[in-house]
Amino acid sequence: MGTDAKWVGKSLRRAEDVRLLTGQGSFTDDLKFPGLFHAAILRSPHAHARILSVDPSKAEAHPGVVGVLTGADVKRMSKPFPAGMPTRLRYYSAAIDRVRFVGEPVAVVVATSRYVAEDALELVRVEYEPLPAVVDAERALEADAPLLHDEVGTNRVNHRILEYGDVNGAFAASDLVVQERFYFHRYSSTPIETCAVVARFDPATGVMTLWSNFHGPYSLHSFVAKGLDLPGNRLRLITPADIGGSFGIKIGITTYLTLIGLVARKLGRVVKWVEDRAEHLAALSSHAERTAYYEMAAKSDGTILAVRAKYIDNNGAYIRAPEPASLYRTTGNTVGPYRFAAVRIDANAVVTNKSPTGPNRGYGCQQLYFCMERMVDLLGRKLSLDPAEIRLRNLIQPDEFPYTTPTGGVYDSGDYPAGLKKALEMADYAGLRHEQQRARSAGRLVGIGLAVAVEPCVTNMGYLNIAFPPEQRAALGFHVKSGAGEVAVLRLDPMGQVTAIVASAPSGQSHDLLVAQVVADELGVTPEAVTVVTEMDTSTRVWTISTGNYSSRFASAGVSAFAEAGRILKGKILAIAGHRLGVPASELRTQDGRIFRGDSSEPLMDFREVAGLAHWNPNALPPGMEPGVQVTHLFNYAPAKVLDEQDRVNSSSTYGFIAEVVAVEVDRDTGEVRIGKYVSVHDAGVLVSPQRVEGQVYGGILHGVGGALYEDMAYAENGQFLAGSFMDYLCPTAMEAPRVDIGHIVTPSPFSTLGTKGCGEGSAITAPAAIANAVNDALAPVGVVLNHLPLSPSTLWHAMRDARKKAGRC
Amino acid sequence: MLIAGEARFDAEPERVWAVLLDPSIIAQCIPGCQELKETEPDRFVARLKVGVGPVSGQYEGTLRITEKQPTTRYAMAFDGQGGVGFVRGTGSAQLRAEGGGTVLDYRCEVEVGGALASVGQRMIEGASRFLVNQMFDKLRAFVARGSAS
Amino acid sequence: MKPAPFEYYRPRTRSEAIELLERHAGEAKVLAGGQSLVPLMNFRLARPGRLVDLGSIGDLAYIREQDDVIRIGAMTRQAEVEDSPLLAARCPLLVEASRWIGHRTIRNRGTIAGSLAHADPSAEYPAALVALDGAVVASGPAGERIVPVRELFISYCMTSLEPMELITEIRVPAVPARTGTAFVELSRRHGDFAIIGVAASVGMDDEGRLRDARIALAGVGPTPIRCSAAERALEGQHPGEKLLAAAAAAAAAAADPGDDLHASADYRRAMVEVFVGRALASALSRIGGS
Repeated sequence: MGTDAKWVGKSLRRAEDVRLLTGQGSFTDDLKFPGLFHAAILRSPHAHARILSVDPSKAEAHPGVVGVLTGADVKRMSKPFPAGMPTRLRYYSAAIDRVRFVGEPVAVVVATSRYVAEDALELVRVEYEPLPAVVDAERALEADAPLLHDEVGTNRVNHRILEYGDVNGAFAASDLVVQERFYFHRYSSTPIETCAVVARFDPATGVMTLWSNFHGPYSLHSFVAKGLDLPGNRLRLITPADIGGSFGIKIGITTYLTLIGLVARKLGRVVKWVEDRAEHLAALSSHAERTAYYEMAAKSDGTILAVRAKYIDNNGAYIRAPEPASLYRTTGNTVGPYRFAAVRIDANAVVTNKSPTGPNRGYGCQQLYFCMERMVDLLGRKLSLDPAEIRLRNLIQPDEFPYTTPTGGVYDSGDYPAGLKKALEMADYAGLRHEQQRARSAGRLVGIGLAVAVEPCVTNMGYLNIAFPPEQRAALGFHVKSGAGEVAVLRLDPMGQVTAIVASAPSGQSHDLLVAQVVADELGVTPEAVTVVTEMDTSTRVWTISTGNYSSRFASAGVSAFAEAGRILKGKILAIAGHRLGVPASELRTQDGRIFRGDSSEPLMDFREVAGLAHWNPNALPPGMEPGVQVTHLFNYAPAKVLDEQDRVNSSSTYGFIAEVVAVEVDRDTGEVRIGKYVSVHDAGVLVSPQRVEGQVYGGILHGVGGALYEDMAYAENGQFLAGSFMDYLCPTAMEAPRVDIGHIVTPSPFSTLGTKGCGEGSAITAPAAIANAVNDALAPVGVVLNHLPLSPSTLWHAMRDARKKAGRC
Repeated sequence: MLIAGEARFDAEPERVWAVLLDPSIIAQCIPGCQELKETEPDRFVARLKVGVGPVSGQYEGTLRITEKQPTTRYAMAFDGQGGVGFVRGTGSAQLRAEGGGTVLDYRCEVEVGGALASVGQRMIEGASRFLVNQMFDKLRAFVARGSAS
Repeated sequence: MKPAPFEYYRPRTRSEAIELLERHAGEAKVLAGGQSLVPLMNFRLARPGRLVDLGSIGDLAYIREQDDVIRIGAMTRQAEVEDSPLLAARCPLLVEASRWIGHRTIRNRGTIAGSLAHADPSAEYPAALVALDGAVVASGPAGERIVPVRELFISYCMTSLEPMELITEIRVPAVPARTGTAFVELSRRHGDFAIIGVAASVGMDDEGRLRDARIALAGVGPTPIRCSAAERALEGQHPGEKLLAAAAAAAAAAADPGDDLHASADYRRAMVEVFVGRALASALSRIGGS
């Protein structure tokens, strides 16, 4: 880790800001193609219905239309997508004989412009036979609920019981048990750029090329290839340099990579589809809602002994990979930062007539920590223990790292008590409690909420197997999974300049800046001198299944890959120079693109000469060395191991920590929540760019504030989608954003090359919990307890009124 | 969504009933109705261009009379599809004589789906009530005119 | 989200515009600022076959006062209403209402007439105009007629304007002496549609008694609602906490809100009471000396 780090740790200006702010970015919609046609998608207005007939003839005859793709074509030309769990459920990129959610694609019309294509959509005649719909997961589990997939026979499509440690013994030994039911609702992160796909199929080579803003994980390359019924080497996925945000939501694009690919293949044209916001909200992706039943066993001194939890996840109408990961992604960090050693999870993935779910910033953590942190508060209230105190009593201690959790997680490093104490200090917690007392005596509803969480980064693909029971995993031929890594390619061109090629397809996280800083430190050049290429192309780049942009992995996996690649490349450069100069490479060093010996300040060679030699005169290279100066390096996290037979898995590779303190006031008359103070302390290990981390923290907080107070992907009982535009889906704006005080502590990861962790998901996983705890604290004097979100003014007003009525009756 | 209420007519139930069952009159009372054609007994196809203010949609669908108890009860089901989505539901009317006139208690369950439901939520309930009131106003005018065919 | 095909006209005079509306009656829609109409067209919820854009008609944007009546041209942008020094002095309720409309960028394009013609009961100008007893000048093939706003709004997005009529002017009385006004609104986020909005105006006589109280509500019915019972309760009384509370309660009783995704009917009604109270208190505090 760099004591001589010149660039890592500095907040440098981003290179991409000028082009992004002046409209010169390269987004998928900016790509130009000759002979391009435009697609519009006909979508189901019904939540559940049989498709009796589809007649595209009037649409096909409309001037400007080149053709129509229907469900019959999709069935004929593609295969059901592979499922990440044992199931008979079949998911295609469009509805074949049944629609199962409002917005499900039913047909695709291609025309000379999007306007004409939309005109023609209405000419496709579809006859539906409506069926009863179900939107609530618990209702869907009842015996007489409408069945979504006849071939599955139940709406519970995945079920595992995971038990670790002596749960029954812990409950028997406890002094008290707290029980509660939680509901975590469905919302999204609404990236500012929606999905876009351009598809071209070349019948001569059999290669399907798809340009899009897909960013991985590239395990889904096979997913799309299988859907398209293509061998892997005939599917080329290209992503341009810029993606306008994703937060995991764009992973749902796999449906459309397939669908638009099929239409391009059928019609023999280059076809572009740009998702509009209405389609994006109704039909792309969001995280799974969770209904959860928790029991927490504890001692009367506040020590938590065990947790039993039942997760009922509403995954929408189909299980689209990587789901049902919403249930399992957090396996390794289920206990959060707490020391209790026994946990039982009854995990259920349920289908309902809503749009299919997927990863959303936090991916399982926001649900997990909402429930866990509310439980800890409820336990504390029962025992009259301050929420800070009860947490401090249960945190894993700094001398216990690396810490193996009962569920198999290996927390690399951390100092949780220090993190929480720093947040309390920054918030002036004692002062806040004092102010709360005064406010309460004046009749004001002021509350303080805490949340602490372990932030898992760099998903270990091994966790995916947990959807399969151990007996099936032990069977021959089962696809064992493990690993979490990233690829780095680093080169000196013949003129001696440095190029770094990133396969991570960043969506605004400044991977290029981070790479430039890391490579600059390793090679001894300046970050401006490094050209970073972020366009991705599965045919021309080196990648593996874990490659891509998700689960907060770049700062740890990507950075480690480039740090190591940089060291290897430097080794090559010095070997070439040493050979040329007749000096042992170990006596040489690099600085400012030149090579020096020992402490001498006299440059002996520069990178241009080294590269010139390596490219132009390979005979002069050390024996056995390849021409040119480049390295392709795959970094893999060793602790990302295979799942064991007891279902224990280290589901991530590095683990950060977040501690937050939030103070709110609830307006007694209107139920409005005002955030008075928001303190957020993060441990993301070594920070490559502190300013980038702050940006991530702000963004995560705002996403969490959105979910806690404003955003709701609401459906009516009959499955109609109610939040179809930004008029009704309420993303907080700058005017709603709270002022935030950010603090850091650093516990370097022993598993990352530079000690970095990750922070991309960050406060999106804690803000809903912290705000919920604060609001509950504010409303405690009026007898209100709320275990669901969003905490809208109308909701709080009703809760206060109901509590008054109840109090009136006793 | 449920739209229910009461409409009063200055005529006996027999006359109101006759008006209710006359398709040529009903066609003029249903807001935006462009065509109402009986294809089988008690079964009609309809074409409507209906809306409120700037929002309007073209719909095509069917209407079935599901219950007919002369001068007392009438029920029907409707199902229409259009560019902005679908509208379907059931409606019933209960008639009784009162003070020389007729009181008609109506009850309509309406489901709206598609783009209109996901974007037009704010307006749907109020607009629907407005359209139903408009329909009864027209019916009243026909009943008052005494024209039963 | 692309609109259905339409023909586009850009007349240069009022009579040309009216002639177009008459010729294409039923098929033509007026385009003023487009901030309500264009999104509806992009969602294909509105499909006018013909759009008549008033943007090139030169003499439709003005704010002037004549005989204690303020006349505002139909195409005056909401931002111009918001920034007008004349209105700040002579009709501050309109200025205050403007600030609640969406965001500044929307107000740069949206027009006051467009807002009134669109007649969304949650909008700010309809409620403000109802409280002010304003009127619009409707111009059509048969000439001009004055429509008091209490006759203008019929239901959700429906006015009594004929299809070939155009609002050409808005008229509001200038604020009398010793009168205070206030516009308050409850919305989920800054700039959102109102959950409820209150336009209030209240005057005071030389003996300190309230006179000529006006209260209009937005967002709690198919049109803006004038709270006559609440107004009568205030008339001739000396202001006081109990009085204002009674007026607020009467106003809540006049409201006829519905449930939606963002707020229940009960909540809206309760908020009418809260915000009418706040609006009246604010208006009272602004009553200047004579």
